Amino acid sequence: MKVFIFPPTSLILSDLVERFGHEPLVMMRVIRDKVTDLSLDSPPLNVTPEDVKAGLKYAAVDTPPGVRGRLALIGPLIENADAAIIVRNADYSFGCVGCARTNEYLRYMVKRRGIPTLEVEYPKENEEDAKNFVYSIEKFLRDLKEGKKNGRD
Amino acid sequence: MSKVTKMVVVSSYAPILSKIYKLQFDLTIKETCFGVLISGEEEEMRRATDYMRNEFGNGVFIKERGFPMGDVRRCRADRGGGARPGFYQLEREIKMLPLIEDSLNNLDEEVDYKIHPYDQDKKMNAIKLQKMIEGMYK
Amino acid sequence: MEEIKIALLSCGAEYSGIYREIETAAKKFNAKLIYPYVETKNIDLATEELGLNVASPDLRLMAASAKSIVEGEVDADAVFICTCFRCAEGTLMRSTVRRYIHEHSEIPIISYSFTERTTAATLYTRMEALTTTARRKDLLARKKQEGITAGIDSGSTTTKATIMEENAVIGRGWVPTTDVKKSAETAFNDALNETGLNKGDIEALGTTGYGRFLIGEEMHADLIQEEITVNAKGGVFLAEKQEGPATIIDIGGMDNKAISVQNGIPGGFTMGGICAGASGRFLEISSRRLGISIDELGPLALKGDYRNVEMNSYCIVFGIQSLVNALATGSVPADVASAACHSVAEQVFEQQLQEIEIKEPVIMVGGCSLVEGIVKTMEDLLGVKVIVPRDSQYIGAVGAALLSSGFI
Repeated sequence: MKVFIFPPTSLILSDLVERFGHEPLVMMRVIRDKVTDLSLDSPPLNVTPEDVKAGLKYAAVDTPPGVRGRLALIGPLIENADAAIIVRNADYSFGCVGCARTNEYLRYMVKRRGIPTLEVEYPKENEEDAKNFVYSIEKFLRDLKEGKKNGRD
Repeated sequence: MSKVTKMVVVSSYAPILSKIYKLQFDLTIKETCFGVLISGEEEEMRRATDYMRNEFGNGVFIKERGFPMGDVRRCRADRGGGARPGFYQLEREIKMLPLIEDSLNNLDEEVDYKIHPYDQDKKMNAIKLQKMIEGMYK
Repeated sequence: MEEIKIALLSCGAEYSGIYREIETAAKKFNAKLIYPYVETKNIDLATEELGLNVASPDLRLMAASAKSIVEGEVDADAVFICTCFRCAEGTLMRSTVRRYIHEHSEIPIISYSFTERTTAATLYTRMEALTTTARRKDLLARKKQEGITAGIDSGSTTTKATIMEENAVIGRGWVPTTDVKKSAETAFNDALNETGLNKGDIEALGTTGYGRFLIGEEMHADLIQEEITVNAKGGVFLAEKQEGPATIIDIGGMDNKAISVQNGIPGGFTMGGICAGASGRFLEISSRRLGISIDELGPLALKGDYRNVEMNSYCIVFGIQSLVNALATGSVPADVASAACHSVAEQVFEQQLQEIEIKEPVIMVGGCSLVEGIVKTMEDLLGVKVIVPRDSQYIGAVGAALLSSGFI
């Protein structure tokens, strides 16, 4: 199944989703398509004013351009997702997930879609936290595979 | 088929580079401080990542990378010293990898573990707090 | 022109489709955008030090970048701070970072809030001023005019010219801008006529304003310079406040500027130019509606009370409509004149003066500084005495004549 992850750039989430047999929907793929496009209009990421306008699909014109530009990149990932894993305390996420308002809205978009969702927290420096993090994710992804109802489904 | 780039990060030392070279994958490989960057056609990349997962198990973590290897747009030297935005999160996640690796090992060994839901109320019960305060003045 | 490095502190230029516009504007003035080196552990420490604990990670990174710049860990000559228009958190952090850098270093800064419609052309004057301040400290160090020099300020509404000799203005020309070249020629000749000198006597010429490149090339000017640098120098020169801090407020015919100056060198500045409601044009139309000349508007405004007129908008269309309605319903002209002045001054106060450090003395220049009602309202809004120096309307031409004497 296609699993949206937040942060959508996370190494750990991306790896775990793939490791447990699903497809992570990640920002890196979006960026790859953007930056390897032959017509590079707006370096470095090739996010153009047209992309920002496309963000109007998700938020009104009086929403700051940085929010709409980010939503235009990440929104389609949520639209295509069958499930989602969200890390709540991703405080060191910069760039495409560097805006708190956008991140709040992304979480809302996931909720609105009503897809199975797991919310976890990055482990602090102890084994217990790490186990809980990994085991929660493994169970969530296993249940998805087995077709069990999860989260908000 | 299009070209993709992946980041392979090791949680502790693993001789990735020498093994990949030995197996002569048709890939561009670059060693970095956290592991290796590999780039090539999707099919060959899948063979390489499957191999690394089998060979190094829970000790390697793999994710895609948006920018091609050595792209000046993300290069520190060209940016005047500052890291690309994704670096800080990667650095933070890399610190967690040994713990994640251990947890994955436990999972493989089917060590029984009871998951604690994240939604549980972490606030202290008011009566418990009252008893604690009362205990201080006994 | 040596390359200079501008540290870009932004929370989302790359995601707003305008990064290339900033880069293009920087390249035009041979500047390179750089990103300060920041250690992960310093991100939270810096946020704590600046004292504004915001939620957005990119804004926290902006604080850490500012700290790196202040501590000299970054080889940056200037700083460009920009955040999204209409983001409260971004705006608060932008001014916090700007203030922090300003108080802890002498590095020139500009701050800007962008939309996806921001173009490189909108940034040119700002970028030119920023790079000039960083690059030409020697030029800006000039405090005294020498020889016989001329300055021409080709503005959007009027063209001004001055002739200077022995550190004093000896000739002045002031004409409405119609054909840019012809207006410059006329203003220049008018200024020469006042002195009895000929063109050949002029040892150096400087041009500034919207038409600076066109007339500068046509008249073989020694100096072609944007208005921020020129007006900063001209302002402190005319007010005799060349040492220490000062704030220059210039409300012109079509745009306005606020410049924070230290020892005659611009430290931070802001430019408005999107809304004609915050310009002299608004006052011109108001005067016409009142059936008086612009010269009469200022004294009339001083006799009125803006609070007696209901203004619903700063807009040059709807705001003027409010004034017309007020006249139609019996408001006295003095109150309407006062309301017109208040509207312009308040908009400049709300939209420009929040972006720089207001330090006394506050010097008002430009055409609108002659409208007493504007000056009085600005004094009330800022709570400080505002200085309007002699020849304040010739500010650009004086600054250009002063700076060009460095080329003799």
